[in-house]
Amino acid sequence: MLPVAKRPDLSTSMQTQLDAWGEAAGVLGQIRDPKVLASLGPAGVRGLVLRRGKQGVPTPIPASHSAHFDWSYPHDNPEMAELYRRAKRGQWDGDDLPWGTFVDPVSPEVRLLPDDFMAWDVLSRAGVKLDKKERRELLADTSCWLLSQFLHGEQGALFAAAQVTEAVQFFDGKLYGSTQVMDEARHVEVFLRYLESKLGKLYQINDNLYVIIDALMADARWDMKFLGMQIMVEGLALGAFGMMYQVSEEPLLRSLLKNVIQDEARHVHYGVVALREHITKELSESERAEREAWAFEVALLMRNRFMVYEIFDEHFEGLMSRATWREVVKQSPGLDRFRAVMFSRLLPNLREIGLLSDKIRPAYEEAGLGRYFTGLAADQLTGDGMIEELEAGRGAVLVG
Amino acid sequence: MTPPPRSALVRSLITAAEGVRRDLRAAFGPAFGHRVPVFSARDGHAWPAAPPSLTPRTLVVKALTRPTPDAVVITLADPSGAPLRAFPGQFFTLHVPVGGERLRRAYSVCSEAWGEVADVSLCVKRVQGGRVSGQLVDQLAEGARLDVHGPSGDYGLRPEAPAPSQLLLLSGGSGITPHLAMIRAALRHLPQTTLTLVYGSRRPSHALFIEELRALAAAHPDRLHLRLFVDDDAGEPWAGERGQLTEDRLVEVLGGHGALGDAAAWIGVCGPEGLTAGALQALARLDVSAARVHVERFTAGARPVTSDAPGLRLPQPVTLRRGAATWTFTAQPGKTLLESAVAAGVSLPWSCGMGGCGACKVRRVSGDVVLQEPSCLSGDERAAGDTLTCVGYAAGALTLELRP
Repeated sequence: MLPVAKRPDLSTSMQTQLDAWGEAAGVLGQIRDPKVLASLGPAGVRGLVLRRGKQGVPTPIPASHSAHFDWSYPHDNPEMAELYRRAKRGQWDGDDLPWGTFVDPVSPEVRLLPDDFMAWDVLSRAGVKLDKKERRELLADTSCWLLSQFLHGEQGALFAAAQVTEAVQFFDGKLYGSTQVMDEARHVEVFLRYLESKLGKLYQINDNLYVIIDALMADARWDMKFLGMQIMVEGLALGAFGMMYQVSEEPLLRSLLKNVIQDEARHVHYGVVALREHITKELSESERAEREAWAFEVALLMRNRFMVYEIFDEHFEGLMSRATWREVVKQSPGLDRFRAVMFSRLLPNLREIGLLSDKIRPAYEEAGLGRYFTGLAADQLTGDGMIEELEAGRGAVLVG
Repeated sequence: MTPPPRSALVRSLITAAEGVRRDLRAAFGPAFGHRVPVFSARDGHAWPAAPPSLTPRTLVVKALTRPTPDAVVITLADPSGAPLRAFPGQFFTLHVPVGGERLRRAYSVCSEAWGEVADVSLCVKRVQGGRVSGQLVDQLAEGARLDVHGPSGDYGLRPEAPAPSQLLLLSGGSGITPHLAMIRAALRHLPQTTLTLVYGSRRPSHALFIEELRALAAAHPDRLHLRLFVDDDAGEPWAGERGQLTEDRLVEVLGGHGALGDAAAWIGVCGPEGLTAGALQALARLDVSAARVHVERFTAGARPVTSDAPGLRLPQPVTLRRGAATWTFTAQPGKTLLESAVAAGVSLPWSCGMGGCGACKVRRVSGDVVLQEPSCLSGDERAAGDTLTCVGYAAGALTLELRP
């Protein structure tokens, strides 16, 4: 049996809390651009300090964008009109997935995640030695945690897509946006159904994911919502879905992810088309630089901060420190692959929309992300192409 | 007296104060050991039930009773304690290993079942020379585990259907079991319904549940009316009537019964083939149309296919249609259509898995299917081209039509 964290004593509680506050301060403290701090700071406080996503009640997040009406219905963007046509034809019904598939989350034959997903050696050095069965249990919980975060991300995407559909000024884009709202609803449906009917568990939203969603829901500027949702969060989602699609052996989950990835590929493509136009032609250099810095900070937040603390809280608090747990997560081959897939999608897209100028490249290189500058952006990749690429990388060793 | 509604200002102040309280608790609570649960448990009940895979589920034998020397009542429950869901008139398919084979047999629920129940009881009566019934009657022990499919079948009563004004139930031999479940359920859940049971057995010592039935009738003298028959008392004590329930005898017994002309009555027949045929003839003579009579047939275990059609030994392409939608899969030699479909990720409806309930019925558009027999398909259904995927094998390329 996996350990279950007990109610911690006062000193453990204090230590955990101090570490969490230290981390929150670290996240906000490292942001150098004051405009970015102004945009991410309040969301950071709400997510990391006040833990709005974990209070156990629905969270109201006020929005302040304007709905953009156009009574002349211009045909203003053929590429978006084409995306709309493709999206209409690409609709699918979540009920048609093979829900009759029997899923055993701890099955050693049909594995949700591969055995070498976790850094077991780091765990055992920390004094937690798990036998085969306990490892499968921890991997089942980790799968469930990942899919729960996918689900929370999709809820954010659903509302953000609706807001963007209101706020965007391209009329063809609005029509396309409505298909994305439908897509995101379907993603919420299928992830929720998988969690409820196959895994039986739903984890709370991770604080850092909450920060990103809160920040872009509350931002009044449509292009920031767009950048946040269509490029950053969708990029994160493609990384995570792609990683799971590559490594999972469970057929229902794989067919679910395959359909979702093909939708997401359209979404990122839309983001690239809309933002390239706007950022390169309409924004001043200082506005562009602010978005570039914002994207960098969010990219780092996504790379460094998804520390799976909910699993730590469930099983390991009191058995090891949060710092040790971070090492376990950082050295896990599976999460390493997730970061690789994510950045190989994300950086070419940022380049394509003009947010990877020579000014910011050294910062990415310093963060070890320079190898992802080249590569195809979303407007040159179809959903099928993306699936083919993932299939090709499937047999590859996990550590990239 | 209810207090007057608060003004919008007061309400918004209260909401704001509650928000601040939650924020403070979330920010500082963890430092003092306050932890929120990191996950919530989910049970998936909100989603349409996925078609079950062919893997049976395992139930545990909670209790055994022997109403007669040749019968056993098996009470089954889920080992996890989860409730079972069954309705009166339904049956379970038991998978019983006998001499290296897994044989499937269907047995009706005899306990009261009206949706979720903690356990179900099935009645198994020894069949002359029957391998499965013999083993269950003689060798089953409490605590044993049995693999089952089901419950299956749409015979009997359902809570969502309009309550019948009366029930007229004709049973022979172990055909009493679904009717006992229906009597128990109707007495408790359908207070306006009156019931008549006509039950024939060969001898007094073969008659099942006589004491229970008499006790129920004594507790509900104005609602449950019993007509209990034996073919021959064989010198054993017997307080009921005598004489075999032939067609003529049934005309005499049923003549003038109020249910015959009452469209809101529910008339059901369950028993050996001879009794069923006689009962249908008798009811026809009494001007009850066949469409009004519900019949539950015993399905003996289907025997292996003996046909030597060469197509059975080859993989065969199968096209499934439902309206405009089509699916294709390959039927593997030696596997039923249902097994091949599931293996190919195509989900089809099915329930008992032994040709006994008709849940997997499909219409054959073209191609040949060889069925394990006997099965529950009637002559009319066969003539219309219906077939069963759970006991059917493809003997050539097939096109099948699913019911909408």
